[in-house]
Amino acid sequence: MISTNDRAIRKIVVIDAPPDMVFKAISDEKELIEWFPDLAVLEPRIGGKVKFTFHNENSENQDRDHSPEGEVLEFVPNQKISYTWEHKDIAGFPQTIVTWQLEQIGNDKTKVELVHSGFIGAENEMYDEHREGWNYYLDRLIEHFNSKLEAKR
Amino acid sequence: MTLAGVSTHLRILRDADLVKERREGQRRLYSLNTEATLEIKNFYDQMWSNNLNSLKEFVENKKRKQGKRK
Repeated sequence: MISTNDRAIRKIVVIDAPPDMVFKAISDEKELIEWFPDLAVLEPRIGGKVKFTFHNENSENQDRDHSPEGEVLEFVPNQKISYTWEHKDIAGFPQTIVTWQLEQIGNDKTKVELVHSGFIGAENEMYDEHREGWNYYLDRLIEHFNSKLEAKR
Repeated sequence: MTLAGVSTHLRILRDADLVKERREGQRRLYSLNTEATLEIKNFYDQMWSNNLNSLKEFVENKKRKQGKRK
């Protein structure tokens, strides 16, 4: 069981296939594109690169492809895979983590637990980070005006 | 940073829906949009539901095809 809190998405699905088949589907670049992104990079080792590209279905907006990327944190064949998931093109997107955990149940079935965590809300980290950013810019702004005023004197 | 730089920064934050903009006469007032992260989370909640179904379908179909070959 993966620990979670209210800032995480947690889903469970039971698949009528053994864990090795499920693991291949969630970790192999060629299998991933059969059910998930349009393009997939997933280097199968800790520290490996991850990048999924989802084409926007609305052809007018091709420049707005959706491409989360990250780094592999855990890679345990047929059991567990976890990677960071970020959007570098979206300012302030929280650093999130996607974790897949597989467990064989009964004969040839797999319980898949997916946790997508790190949706830090306004109350803590993300807010603090931005608040620091705001203070910085506001200070600069005040400085800017003060120096203008002094120049006038 | 120049004033124009601050404006650019605020516009990027606004386009990403991380701040809200309100106009008051000549002034533009900005405030933090605390709902942005929640919206991102809701988006992924929906996305994972859809994709876990796709995963299940994909793997189970593949298993069925392999079974036939045996």
